[in-house]
Amino acid sequence: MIKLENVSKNYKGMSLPALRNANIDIGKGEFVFLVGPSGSGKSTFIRLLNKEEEPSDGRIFVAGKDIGQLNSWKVPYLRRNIGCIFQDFKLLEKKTVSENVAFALEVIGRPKSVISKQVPAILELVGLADKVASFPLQLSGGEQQRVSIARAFVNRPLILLADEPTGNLDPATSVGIMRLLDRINRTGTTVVMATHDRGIVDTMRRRVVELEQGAIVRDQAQGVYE
Amino acid sequence: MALKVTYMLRETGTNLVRRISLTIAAILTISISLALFGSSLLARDGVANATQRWEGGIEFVIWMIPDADADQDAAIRRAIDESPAVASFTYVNQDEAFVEFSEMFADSPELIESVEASDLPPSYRVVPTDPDADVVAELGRQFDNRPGVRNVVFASEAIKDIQLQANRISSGLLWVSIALLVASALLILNTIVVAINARRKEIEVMKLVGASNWFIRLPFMLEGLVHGLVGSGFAVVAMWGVKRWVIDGFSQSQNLKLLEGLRVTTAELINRSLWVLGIGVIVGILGSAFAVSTKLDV
Repeated sequence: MIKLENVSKNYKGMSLPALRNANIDIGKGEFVFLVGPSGSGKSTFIRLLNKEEEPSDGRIFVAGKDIGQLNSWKVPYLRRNIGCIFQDFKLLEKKTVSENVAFALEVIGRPKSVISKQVPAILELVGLADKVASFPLQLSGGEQQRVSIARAFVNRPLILLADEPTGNLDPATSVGIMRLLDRINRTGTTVVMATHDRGIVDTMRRRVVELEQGAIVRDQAQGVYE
Repeated sequence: MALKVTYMLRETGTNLVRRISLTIAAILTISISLALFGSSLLARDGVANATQRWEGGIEFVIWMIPDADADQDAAIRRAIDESPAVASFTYVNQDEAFVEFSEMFADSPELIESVEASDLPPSYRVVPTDPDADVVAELGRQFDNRPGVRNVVFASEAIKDIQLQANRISSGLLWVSIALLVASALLILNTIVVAINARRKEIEVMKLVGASNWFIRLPFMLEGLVHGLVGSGFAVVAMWGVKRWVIDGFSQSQNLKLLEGLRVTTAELINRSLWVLGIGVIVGILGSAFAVSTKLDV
């Protein structure tokens, strides 16, 4: 599903590369944790997959396609197959829970009939059926992250990228979010999650890819944080 | 598709209303600049119509009597042809005179209907080699009182002055309006930049979930288009007012005989209105397109 071949990323003005000669193959339906200290290249890894950044070197394949060869007008179609969730949720404060999720379908031109069916269904899945009319600021952090997950998953993407999704949440809420991501993963969606949360990684025992100064230093099946 | 159109219209409307003061400023600036621009074009048209017979250096017109015979006409033509003081001349026959009359009085069909080509005198419009007033007067007098000639009419200094001053004024207006149009385009550009900045988070989410580039850009482009279209719409209304109350007022004035011929036909007004609408749309689209291409990183 995801393949990196000798991928490096250098940012202007930085002496060290953010990612260095990375090679990795992630299969369909896998759940992969990206671990490592701050600045080790986890976020860069995720941004490269979503084509928010271009690699300085190497090739990246998503669903069998070399995304470096994609025309800029095709990038949105790539992104429709990749859901993203973030530490800061990126919700639109002036829209309700339901509108935030519907927005993701509306802007890719899904018909109203589809939107009116899929939005309540996904909100039911993430456990927010009773909060459809609430605004993000009326929700707890965990609930806001659930809305963000609903928005990322409503279009049933092949891949879900999560950049520190539990970074702003307390441990109990984090467990709830991880259960949800696990459930999504069981539907066949590939999940790649960057995290600092040792407890979560050690409990879930999934594939762990460790980055250090931009290099992949460990790739372990059913791994632990370190 | 229907949803996309609804979405685009809703977003464009929201953008326009959310920053209403900027919207009003952009529309007012473009209205004023285009109203000036359109009025200067109308003034040019009016003066061109009023002084039509005197364009291209024509200094005097020999009006023949409508039923002058062929010999009389040939004699005059020969005399003009052979005169070394004549640089060039144009013969306007009765049919051409009728066309000219019809254009001049296009807004008064009852007047056109009351006249036939045979009622109008043919004329020779003469461009002398030397435009000096005394030389022109002397040359013109040679044709007065000849058989077949009704009279000789000279381009008066007043007409030349009107032509010159009116052209200066309309050129001045044109330049001022062009400068204002540039200001309008910049104002639209900045309005769109403000709109983009205000919706940065929304745009980020749209990009993340895979909205197409045009889907993101179009509401902002439409916003610029609305500024241009509404602004030019007001300008067109102002231009119709200028024709109705200023230009028509001059042409009907009993005290300003010199400006009697100043008139703009409805066809000319429609033509200039379409120009103004077109320019408004172009300025709106250019301003927003520049903002979108430089500030919207999609």
